[in-house]
Amino acid sequence: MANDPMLDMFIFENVQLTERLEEILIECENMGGFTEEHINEIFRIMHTIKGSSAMMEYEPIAQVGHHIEDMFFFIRDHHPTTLDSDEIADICLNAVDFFKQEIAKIQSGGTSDGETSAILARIERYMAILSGKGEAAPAPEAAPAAPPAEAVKAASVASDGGLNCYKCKIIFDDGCKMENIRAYQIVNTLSDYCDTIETIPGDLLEDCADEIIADGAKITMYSDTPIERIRAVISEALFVKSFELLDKTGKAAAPAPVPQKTEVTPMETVPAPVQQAPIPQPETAPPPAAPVPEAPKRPALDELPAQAVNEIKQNFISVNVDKLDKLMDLMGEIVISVSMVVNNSDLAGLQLDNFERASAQLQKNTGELQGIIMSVRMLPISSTFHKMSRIVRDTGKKLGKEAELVLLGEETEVDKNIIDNLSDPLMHIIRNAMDHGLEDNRDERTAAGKNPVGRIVLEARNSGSDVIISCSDDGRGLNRDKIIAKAKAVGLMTRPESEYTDKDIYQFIMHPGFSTNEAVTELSGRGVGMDVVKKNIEKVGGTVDLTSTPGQGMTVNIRIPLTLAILPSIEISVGKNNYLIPTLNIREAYKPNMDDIIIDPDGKEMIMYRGECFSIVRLHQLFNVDTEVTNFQDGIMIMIEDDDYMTCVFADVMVGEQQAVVKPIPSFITERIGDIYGIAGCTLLGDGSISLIIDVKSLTH
Amino acid sequence: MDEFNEMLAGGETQGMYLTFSVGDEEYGLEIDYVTEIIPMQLITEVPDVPSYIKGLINLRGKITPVMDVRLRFHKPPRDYDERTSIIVVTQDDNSIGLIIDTIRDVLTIDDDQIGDPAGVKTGTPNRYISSIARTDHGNKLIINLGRVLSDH
Repeated sequence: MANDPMLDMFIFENVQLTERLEEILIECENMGGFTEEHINEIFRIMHTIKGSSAMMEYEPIAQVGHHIEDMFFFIRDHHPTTLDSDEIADICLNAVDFFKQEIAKIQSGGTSDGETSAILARIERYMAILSGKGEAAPAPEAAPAAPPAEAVKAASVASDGGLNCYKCKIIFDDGCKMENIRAYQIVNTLSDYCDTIETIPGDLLEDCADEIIADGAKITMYSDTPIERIRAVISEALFVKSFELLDKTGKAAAPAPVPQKTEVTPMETVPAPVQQAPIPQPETAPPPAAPVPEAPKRPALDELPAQAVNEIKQNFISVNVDKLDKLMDLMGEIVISVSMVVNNSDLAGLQLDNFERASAQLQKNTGELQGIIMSVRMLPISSTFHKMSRIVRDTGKKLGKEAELVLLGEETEVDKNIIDNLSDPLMHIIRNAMDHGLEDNRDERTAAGKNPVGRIVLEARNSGSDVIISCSDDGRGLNRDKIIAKAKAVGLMTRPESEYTDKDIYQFIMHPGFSTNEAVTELSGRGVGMDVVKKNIEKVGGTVDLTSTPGQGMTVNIRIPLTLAILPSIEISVGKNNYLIPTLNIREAYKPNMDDIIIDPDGKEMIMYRGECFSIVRLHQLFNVDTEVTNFQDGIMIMIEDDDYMTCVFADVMVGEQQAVVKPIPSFITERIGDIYGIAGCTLLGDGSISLIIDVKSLTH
Repeated sequence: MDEFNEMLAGGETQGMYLTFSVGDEEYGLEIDYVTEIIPMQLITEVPDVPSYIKGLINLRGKITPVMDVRLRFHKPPRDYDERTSIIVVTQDDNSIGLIIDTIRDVLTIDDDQIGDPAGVKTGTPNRYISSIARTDHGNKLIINLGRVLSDH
């Protein structure tokens, strides 16, 4: 059974589900309670986790999922009056952590073997309390963890004796893959409610996906569970396109209400049995009494709920990112091929009206296609932001601090690659804000005239071709003197103190190994935090800076490009070669005035620019290129900057603007000589030629 | 050039060699290494590389490094002309272009035609040559591609 696509799917689904679960729990905790909707959703998620992990034979996950599902089943059906939502959230978050840890194990090739007893015991303890408080007569619920469904089954079999026969045909979403396994999963779940299940094809674990695609999965089951429950189970299953569920017992109208009564009997206390019995079905949301009049129609096709579910699901498909990357690469090549065709030198001077018209159309369409492909890779940043809620909650509990997290602009979209690289840095920043930023206790805050509950604002917004993510806290702010003292001690201050701006000084805390916090805490260690942040952000082409007002808090601003794939650049030429400089790094370009040129006794050339002196890099010398332009007044000076470091580069002429799709220098070359000084990568230009991209960082630092 | 590429696409390659000339000598390269043969391309120079690495070409959207075999074999440089070709070879999934003077032929060479260069007793064998084949079309120096592409 252990084939990779299935495992991938399992991991993918469960990672998503646990993330969603975490979001709901944090949301509930902030609201101070669980709404019916939340309870239903948690129940559904747990149910799916349980089902899929049982199928994959990850017993510990299935067990924990099963117990939590039971707990919510109880809450959902019995509406206990006193819910300790904190305790429930804690239990569930514990479980979420457990799931994550187990999934991580599975992902790294291991198996799920975590110790579940502590979590299970806690759930059972709470279930005992719940049922003790929630039920007027706790006696029948002596074993609270026992699944209520089983109690129902036992009771109804006793009173009814006969079993209903249901026939079901399930059609799966087109192209959802592994239809037989999905059918097996449903049958597996249904077996909780049914005594006997027969399927066509007979053995779903055999390779019979094609048969299911053609004819659907046909299931015959004998069960005492009401048809509504079965319907609910099937409609909750993933990738179900539509299904028919028929009651073949012939007593279509009658049986539905009958088990309802028996179901209620052991509970004794619930006053309105009809209200209680039908399992709420969120998608269709019929009024509670509706199933009874509807029942006679049941033997007929019942497509309505399936369709409703269907519409929700079909809006999204999951795609492997590798495929998107390939699509993106191919798109880049198509754009280049199009311009190679359209601007083909063989066509020069020809009068080609129809060709011109057709090629204009082609260019327009490829442009649109490119836009769509780029947008497919863009994801809202909200999932990353929501993870931070959890960090605030956990660190807050550990540190005994209270803080609220305000999320702004979470719908801002960023390239998938960048999102993946943002999580860690943001986590560090938030932890830092909680640990070092916010005051130690309420009194200290009240004394400073602030709201006793700390406030951290996480905001994302677009700014040109960049996204700016800022995280501000309203804590103590950075202590300038402390940073200076530490910087001196570590030997970072190389110039007199007066020459440093506040910004320079705050920048020190992002230096490796720099931390003003004397004590090493469990949360934010020995000052490895901020430099990791900086490194990770720089990896995706972004920058980090800090602002702070003493006593009022600090803000970390992260500026990242919308997408890594395309780099707006200026093309320059030196001799017969062309190079690109990222537009972002160009401060200014101008014809130099010879009076500003200074040559020191070593022959090193420098230029005065706005009262400051910068060294000049002659690109023709750096790259060893023959050119006729060697006098400064014949060429052009380009002031490039990175992180406030500036240098002047001298080139022959500026050619124009280019959108560069950055590609690495082939390994055949880098393996021989390592990274090429001054070159960051290469790109294909519209005319099919290759241009090298200048590495501004190495030239300026 | 197209006829060569057609031959390359054809099935059985056992014992087949692509022959080409660089200067006065003719060389043979096992055809399994060869992806295709293309005419001379516009080359983008790369700084700081050994002189025999001429730079980068755009091979249908793939950025591919090219090496001048003439310079690699320490022969004097000469201008490229219309017969200059690039043999694209693949090594560990990376494509590399080899610039040679002229493409000659695709030959089937039997194992018994191939002799150890050490056995020829012409002094120290060239490190880029693995053996010498005696064919009806004259002697061919069989290339040791691994050594040609290695960074030593």
